[in-house]
Amino acid sequence: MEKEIEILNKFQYSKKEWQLIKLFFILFWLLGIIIVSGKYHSQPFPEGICIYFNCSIIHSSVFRTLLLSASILFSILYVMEWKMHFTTFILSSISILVFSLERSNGIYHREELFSLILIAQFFAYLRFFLSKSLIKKDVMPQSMAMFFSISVISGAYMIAGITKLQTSGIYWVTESPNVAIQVLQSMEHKSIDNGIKQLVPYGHWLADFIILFPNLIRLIFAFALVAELMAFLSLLGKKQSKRYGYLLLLLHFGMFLMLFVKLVVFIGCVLIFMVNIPGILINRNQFKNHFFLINTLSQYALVLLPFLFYFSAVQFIGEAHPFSRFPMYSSFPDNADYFYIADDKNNPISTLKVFGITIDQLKDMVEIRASNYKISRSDSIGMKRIASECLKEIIGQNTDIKKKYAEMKWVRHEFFFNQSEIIERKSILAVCKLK
Amino acid sequence: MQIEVKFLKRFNYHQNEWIIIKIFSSVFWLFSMYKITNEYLYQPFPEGICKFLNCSFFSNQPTSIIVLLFSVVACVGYIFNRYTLVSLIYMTICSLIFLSLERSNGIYDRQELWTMIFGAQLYGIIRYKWKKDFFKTHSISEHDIAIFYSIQMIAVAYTIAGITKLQTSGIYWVIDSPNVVLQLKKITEQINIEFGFKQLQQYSLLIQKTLSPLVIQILFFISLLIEVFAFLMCYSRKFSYYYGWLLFMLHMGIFMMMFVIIPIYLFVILFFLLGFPKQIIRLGRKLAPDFYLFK
Repeated sequence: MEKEIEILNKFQYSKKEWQLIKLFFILFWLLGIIIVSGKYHSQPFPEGICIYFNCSIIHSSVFRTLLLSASILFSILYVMEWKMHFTTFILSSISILVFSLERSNGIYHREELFSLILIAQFFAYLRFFLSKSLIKKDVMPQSMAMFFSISVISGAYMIAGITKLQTSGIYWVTESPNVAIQVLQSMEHKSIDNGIKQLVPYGHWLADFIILFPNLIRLIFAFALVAELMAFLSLLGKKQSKRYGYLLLLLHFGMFLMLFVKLVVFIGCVLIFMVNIPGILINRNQFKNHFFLINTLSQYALVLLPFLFYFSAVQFIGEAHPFSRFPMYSSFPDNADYFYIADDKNNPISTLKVFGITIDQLKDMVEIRASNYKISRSDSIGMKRIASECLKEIIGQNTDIKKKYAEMKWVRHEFFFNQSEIIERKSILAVCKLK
Repeated sequence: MQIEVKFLKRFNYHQNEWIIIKIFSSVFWLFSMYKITNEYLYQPFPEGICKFLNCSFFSNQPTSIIVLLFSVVACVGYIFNRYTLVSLIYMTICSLIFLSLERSNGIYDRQELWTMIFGAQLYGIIRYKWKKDFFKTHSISEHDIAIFYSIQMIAVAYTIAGITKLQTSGIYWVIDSPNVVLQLKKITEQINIEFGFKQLQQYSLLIQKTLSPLVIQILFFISLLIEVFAFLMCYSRKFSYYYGWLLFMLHMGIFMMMFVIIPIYLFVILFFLLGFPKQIIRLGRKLAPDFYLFK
């Protein structure tokens, strides 16, 4: 009993803190209930409680109104700390009912954590209600409720870790570079879902990176697995649970970067119960400590404002002077080409001397037309059209050359590798008769 | 605020250094403006601001003459610190219009740095005027902020260039870098046509035969790191100086590999990072010790 009191006293939360934690959590839960209860009108693959009970009944307007009214009413009572063992029992029952319906539709948004936390709190309050006066005297009910809530969150992570070990053993780490395929698949479908086209090249880049550094990926995955398995460490105390919360957030951030997976319920619960955002907001000193980082960062942002402004503007605007991604030589393909102007005997003419235009600028002229006309560089007919347009434009600016040259040709000089040997090819794209 | 003061104190420049930077910047910028007004009389492929405004109107006479005259006046104001704010607003808008016009002709001379630098200096001066007393009590002058913000623009240009390489090619930018020999061959051919330097083709062959792909990959990897981490130059003047040397070597490497030199980049490295104005002052003190700029 004394040991239990000692452990529980490591989770001391003020009444205000607990109230705000409850408020955050119940609003989060209510949002889930409102969304899910109106979504599914049948239960094609009954699961959990829906095997014994037709959960789809909650889609009917009468039942849904009743359910939502009850949810809101008991949520208020929950925040007001009214007969908590009873209130949490009702809330957890509603939670089980609604989220089982979602699973019965084959949708796994991992909302079981909501139900688990409410059940844990129900047991905590029941335990407190039934406990001897010694516990009631030395332990605050919120300490027990918080300890039980953090226990189920860390338990969920531990079970996830153990399941990985049971299913794949150490291969979960050794075969982790195979995640490259998941990355590609994930980015492709997220790109279709969200319409963010950039996700596909990002996925390819990430997959290439994973393939290139398999050992680094194994190390990261080993770290993630250990973080999941050791989640019980968050039960050592309030401080430890906060630190572990940050670690788990890092894990989720990594998952988001790699697979674009957002386990919103898990992240939300870690933020509310482990990182204790409500507590940070309520405790001014703690608030200052936590916001010290934000304050410092905002000061750095002010100092580096021109840098940050340009950097972020480029990401949104792209290429529009003065914003540029500076794309020159951002890839080295195994072929290269340039354009020059030749006379009737195919001798190259120095455009710099004759027209004041460098050969690089000739290429720029071709490139801007190719991108505007949506013509590929391998499209020979399209390239001929561009070349004749460019040639006409250059000659049009200079009348003296008509006396000097009988003919001018736009020539493309290409280079490419053929079994580590450089092959050259010249092709005339346009001809302009001057005499 | 304290962090800002800490940063700005690390970027301490003499007033005369600032004047020299302004003189050379103005000359360089005026030359660019003159070239653009002469060369680009219409905008076949409008880009940037030219999509909303007919930029070619400003490059056709007589507007161009008026614009150039005002540019000279603005440069004088900018150099002698008279109506700096108005001068900088004018120079920023001018850069924006004319450099957009150049790009609207499909020419990418990478001169966006002018607009970026003048814009940053303008913001720096507004910031100084806004909190003048505060900066004065911490003995931070207007030009310290202006130069610091200009350096940030240089840093962001390199950092973005590095990130773009990673976004476009990923690690293949390094892996495929031995393909640069094709670029070298192409460029030596171009130079041969433009200037008649046939010897460069021998040089291209020499590089192709002597530099192993691994050496090229290592060199390109280092250059990518230099670009991506260019934001480090915002830490202090000393840092920007050392980083300036790294960037200078990077550009020399690019020149040796591909005969590419971007004048504006070389200019900003020499004048904003490597402290070229300081050397000019030192030399000036020997040659004309009584001239006010060298005192």
